[in-house]
Amino acid sequence: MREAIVWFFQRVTGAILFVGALTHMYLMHYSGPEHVTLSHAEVLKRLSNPFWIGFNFIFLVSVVYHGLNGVWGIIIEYVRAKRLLAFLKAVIFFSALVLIATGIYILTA
Amino acid sequence: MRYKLHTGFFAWLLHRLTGLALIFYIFVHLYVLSHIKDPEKFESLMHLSKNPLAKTAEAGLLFLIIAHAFNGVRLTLIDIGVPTRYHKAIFWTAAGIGGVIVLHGFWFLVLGGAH
Repeated sequence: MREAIVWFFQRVTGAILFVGALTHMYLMHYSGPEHVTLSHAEVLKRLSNPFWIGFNFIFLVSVVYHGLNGVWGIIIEYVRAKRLLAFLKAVIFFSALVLIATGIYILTA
Repeated sequence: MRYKLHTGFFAWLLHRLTGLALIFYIFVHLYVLSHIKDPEKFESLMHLSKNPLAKTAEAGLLFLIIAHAFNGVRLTLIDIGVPTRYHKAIFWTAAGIGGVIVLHGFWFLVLGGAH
């Protein structure tokens, strides 16, 4: 059951990322002035819009879940030693915490 | 290894490698953006992204995202039970559309096609 939920969320976040990553890539890499990266002021302006804050927050949570769960899937395929697995699990959770906290910090700019 | 050398194996390996590269990129990306409350540092980091080498890397990033995203759609279609006889067609359709997007991106971002 737990595995089914993890699998299901990997698919749901994958679908969110399909839309989110392509939108994000298009906006940030293709449509800036002269098609270069947006300036600091422009980034801040976009980050002051509640829609983009919400979009980026959902995007952030999905990226972190999907990416780290994917890495975990690879780890459990190769690592058998219990203590190493426990250590790597702690690393994964710590990474998730750092990425989410960093993301929220950026979104509050 | 329980995987055989065919398009399925290639797609599986590509999905794994692009996924690992992307999560690594997320760490770098959020690190760079974490300077957002320091405009000068932020602009100087962003300025780095304007040189041709970075533009090439940007096209590489587009490849990673498109390859992983389209492969993900392919995997989902297979998971929800699309018959095996369509798997190769799905792979080549995804590779075709994805390839066009990546080539366009390379032309746009690296060769200055937009200017």
